[in-house]
Amino acid sequence: MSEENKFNIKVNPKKPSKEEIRKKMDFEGAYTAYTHKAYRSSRAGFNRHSFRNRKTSMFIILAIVIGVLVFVENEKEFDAQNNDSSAITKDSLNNDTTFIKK
Amino acid sequence: MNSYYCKANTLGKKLTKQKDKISEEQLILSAKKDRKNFKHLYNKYYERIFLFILRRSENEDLAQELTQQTFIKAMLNIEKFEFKGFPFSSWLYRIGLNELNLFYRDNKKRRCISLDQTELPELTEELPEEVNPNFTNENLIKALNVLSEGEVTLLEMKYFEKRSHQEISEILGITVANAKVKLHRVIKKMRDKMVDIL
Repeated sequence: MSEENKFNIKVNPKKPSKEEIRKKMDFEGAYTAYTHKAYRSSRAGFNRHSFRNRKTSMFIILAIVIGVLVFVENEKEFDAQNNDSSAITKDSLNNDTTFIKK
Repeated sequence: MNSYYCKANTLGKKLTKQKDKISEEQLILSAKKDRKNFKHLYNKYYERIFLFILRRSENEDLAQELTQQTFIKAMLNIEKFEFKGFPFSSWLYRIGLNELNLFYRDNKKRRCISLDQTELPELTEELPEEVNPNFTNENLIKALNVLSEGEVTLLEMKYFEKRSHQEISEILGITVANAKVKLHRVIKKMRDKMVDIL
């Protein structure tokens, strides 16, 4: 952004009168919005603080993704170990001739 | 006799101030119990908050929307408000300022600044003498461009809205000393820029 247009400057802006402001503002509107479900649900609460929650939610998502990846990797390793033909089984131990019985 | 009246007057003013504080505290407590009672606080402050937001926003419609949003947020979070010696208005101003910042950040728009010729003399007094004769709106706008949004907010509050250091510190949630130091730095930055321009 160039130095010339960093801010939008209003020179001598018109100030509304008290009456004009009174007409624009009404408590009932604000109260209705306050009681609306959009503000009352927990999801809305989370969205309202989305900026503050963004880091936390990203961390949670990241943790879930890493957790799933680790789990999948472990499953693969476990499967590979179980299907390994060279792995020692109970039967192979019993048939092992080099095994010295007391 | 005169001094007696003077003392009585001062005492009366003090009592009225105390009464105001008590009534505000009561209003807040009643609003905490039932949000419908927030109406009294709304009616007391909507004009000030509207004007505060209007001078920082593009138009009246946007100011109206952000002011309503400010009061909705205040109603939602009034439970968190505690009496720490700060007036309730400061808390509302802070919510309003946050709403404005949120709006400009989300919409990627340029921040608005209102310059009123009648509000400028106090600011020009702070500038060096060699700058004063050549002080124009264009030069001021160029000088404002070197400031950050936070610095502009400080400048607006002090010189355009004529707020005290105490009030500024309450709105921004900083100490009075910190507010003074920050303002001093802002003025120095502007002075340097003005001298550069000339």
